[in-house]
Amino acid sequence: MSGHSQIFMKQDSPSSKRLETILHRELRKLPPVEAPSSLIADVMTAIQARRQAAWWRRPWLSWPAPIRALTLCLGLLFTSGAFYTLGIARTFVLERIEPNALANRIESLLSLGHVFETLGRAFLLTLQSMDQPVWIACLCVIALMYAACIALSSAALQVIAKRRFPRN
Amino acid sequence: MTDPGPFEAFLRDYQNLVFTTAVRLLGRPEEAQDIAQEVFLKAYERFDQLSQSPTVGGWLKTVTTNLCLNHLSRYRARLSFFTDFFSDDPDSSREFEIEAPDTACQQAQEADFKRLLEQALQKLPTRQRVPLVLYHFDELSYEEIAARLKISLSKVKTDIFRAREALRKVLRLLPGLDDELADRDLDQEPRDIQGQKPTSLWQDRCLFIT
Repeated sequence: MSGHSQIFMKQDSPSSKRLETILHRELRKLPPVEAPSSLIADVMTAIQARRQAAWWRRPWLSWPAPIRALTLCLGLLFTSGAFYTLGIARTFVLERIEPNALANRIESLLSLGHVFETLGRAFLLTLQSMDQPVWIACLCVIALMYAACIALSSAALQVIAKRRFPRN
Repeated sequence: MTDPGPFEAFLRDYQNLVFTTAVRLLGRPEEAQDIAQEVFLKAYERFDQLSQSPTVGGWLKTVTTNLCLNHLSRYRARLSFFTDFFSDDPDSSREFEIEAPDTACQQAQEADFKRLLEQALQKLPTRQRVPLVLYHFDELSYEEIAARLKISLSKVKTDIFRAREALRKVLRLLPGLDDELADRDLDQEPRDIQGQKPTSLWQDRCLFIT
């Protein structure tokens, strides 16, 4: 029987139910854990640092009310302005753009595609001219390099993780 | 901005509540202190409303729980917390050592037992401690815990079951509780060479612990 099925059977046993009841009662009786004596001082220091910070460095919610209202209005104004400007710009571009100019741009982009096509063909020709063993060896080297990269990065992550988050 | 005077009194009143909630969920006092500080800084921003509210304790507890769960998922997500949570190995639960009580065995006081139970709770693996604390202290149902931690219901039940079983040995250290549990667990109790049940499991345990 698997470990899980055994656990599921034991969970409903009277012994388990009794343990649950007793544990619940005893845990609820536990007194609060005493907070470290430095907690109050640390919080008050952090508050003091916040109070001394310039108002614009504090969270937006704690800014003076008139400034919050002003920034809210400015934000709304800016957003609606941006939408309005975008609308105008779109109309402006559509009115002035020449269909021929657009076609020329697309054609120049397509010529770039031709360059890549030629490069690809050259690469394929090189591959075909190579002997099969050389070709396989090249593939193996590439695969090995790829595997080495993954292994090194995993090892580095493990080392960092162990240093930063040691298991309790 | 809020006057720090009354806030310091508020801090004094609630520091143990917040720290207790955090340390039971995180199991690490240093991390719990950082979370407690963050909670109180949030409370300071809303102190005008909070100081008048009758449910301030509940608010602080909820914020602390949320920050602790966020902290656990954010900083341990790819490292240990979720690998712990998703580990289905039935033998993966770790044993923890129980420290010897300060006083002699016969005079062992309930305070010692409570201290041991608190220590044992904090020493549980994260994947077992968090659902157990949410179940017994926050009184969430198994379903709510599963939804909260984004793990399966069966995983929650298994982890809580294992946590309780791990704490069973601490419960058995107290003579009264030993008897209560012993009614059902006679087969699990140690026996001496002659096959007799020890008079008190507390005494029996102390022989091994001290």
